[in-house]
Amino acid sequence: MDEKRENGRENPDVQGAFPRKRDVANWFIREVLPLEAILMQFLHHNWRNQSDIADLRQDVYTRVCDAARRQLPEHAKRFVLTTARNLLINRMRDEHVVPIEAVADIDALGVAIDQPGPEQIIMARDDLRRLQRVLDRLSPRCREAMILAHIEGLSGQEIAARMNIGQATVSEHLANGIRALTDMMFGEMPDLGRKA
Amino acid sequence: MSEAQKFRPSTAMEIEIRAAAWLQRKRYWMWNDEDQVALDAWLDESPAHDVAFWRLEGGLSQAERFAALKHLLTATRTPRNRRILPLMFGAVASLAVFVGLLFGIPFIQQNNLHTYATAVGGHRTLSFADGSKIELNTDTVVRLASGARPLSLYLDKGEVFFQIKHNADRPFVIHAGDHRIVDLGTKFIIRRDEQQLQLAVMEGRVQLDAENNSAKPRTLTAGDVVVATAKGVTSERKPLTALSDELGWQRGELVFDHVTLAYAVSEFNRYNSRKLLVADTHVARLTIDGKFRTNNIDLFARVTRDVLKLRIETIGNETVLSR
Repeated sequence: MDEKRENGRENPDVQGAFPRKRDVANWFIREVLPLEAILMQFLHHNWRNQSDIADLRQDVYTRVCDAARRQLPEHAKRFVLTTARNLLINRMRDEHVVPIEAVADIDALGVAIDQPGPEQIIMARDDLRRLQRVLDRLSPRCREAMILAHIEGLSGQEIAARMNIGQATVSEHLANGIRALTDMMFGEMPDLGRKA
Repeated sequence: MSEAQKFRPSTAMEIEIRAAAWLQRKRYWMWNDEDQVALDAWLDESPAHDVAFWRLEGGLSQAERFAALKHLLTATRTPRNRRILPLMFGAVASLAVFVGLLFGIPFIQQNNLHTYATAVGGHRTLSFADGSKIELNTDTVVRLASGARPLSLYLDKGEVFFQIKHNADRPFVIHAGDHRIVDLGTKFIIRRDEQQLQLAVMEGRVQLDAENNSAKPRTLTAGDVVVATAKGVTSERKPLTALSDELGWQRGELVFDHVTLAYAVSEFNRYNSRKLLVADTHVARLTIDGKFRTNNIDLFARVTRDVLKLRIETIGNETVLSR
């Protein structure tokens, strides 16, 4: 995983024709993250041990971005799902868990792969409900911290003063808030083990 | 990390927790070059750190866009170290409003107007998250105040078909010159030109109001057609079939049911830059029936020639119909 360290941030401009790290980040945020709901659905369907899912997602993202360092893939959706399938097949082979045919599901997604994702265009009413649920799931203090930060525009220090709690606690609330909002934005419900 | 996890702790989750701690530090607290160096060092430890951090950055900036309208209204603060990230979804103003509501902040009337327009012969549909739809006919200009509550639309000129999912908490208000139209759950058409405003209700109810409250608001129901000019407001009732003919433009059609040639020509001229002219008042008063494509002037001219025995003469950009 670390074999490409020389491509790190130290010399972001020495890449020649290769995309720079920030380009990869922008591409990742713009093209890949909106596919997260689809990716997660694929992983959930095809991998029995649900506690591996977060790691699998991370592996997919890491591989995809690693490849993007050489060249930004043209079809993000196809690339992400193909990467996910290959990863699952390798894992199944290694762990001798499930017959490889189990990953046939990606072909059922084949149609979806080629169409431009409407998910990039519209946040439907479902998202409103999901957003509500996410906010409901945050503890009242966490929600309050996020509101102070994003609606009132207070800094962490100001929030600590306003809420009369320690700065470390504010940090924790804000970090939890960021994670929950991110999960919501990209289509996954925050898991139950993460009551902020 | 909670001890209550039944399964082995996910390394991805640990990384995410670390990334979130970094991001909140960078985003909400004092941040200097040393901090940035430390963050860069952590990111460079593993590509997994990169993607975890990027993902949260993307999520946060996405979430921030919902509150962005509100942000514009809060007093300008010292700028934070905040990166502008690319947009990932189309802007959905109603979400912003929704978040505003969730957060218990009453939404404030926006001055942010988006203009939507069609050219001569154009046709455009705007869809809203709640299923409401508005369609702009040819040569139309509207301005929409997206973040506002109630949802306000200014009809500057042209014709618009409204199909509004009624929401008592969030009425849809149309401003057209001196008039204000409020939907009460409905389908209706409004057409505005220099001389007059016409409002036809196909379904449900609409409230018509004077912008300066000088007249009593009146409630219109399906079949009501109101014409307002500088001289005053008149209303009549039309069968719904006639009203649906007036919506032929949604399919790119003009439907004429025993109308004068003057009217038919003026309708064609709304959709085409090539103009039709009638030679005299006698010709103007002839009547015609039929269904035409809005852009098919030639067919229309041929029909007048064959049926009404008129002469067609095209000079430059104008086609003249005469006896």
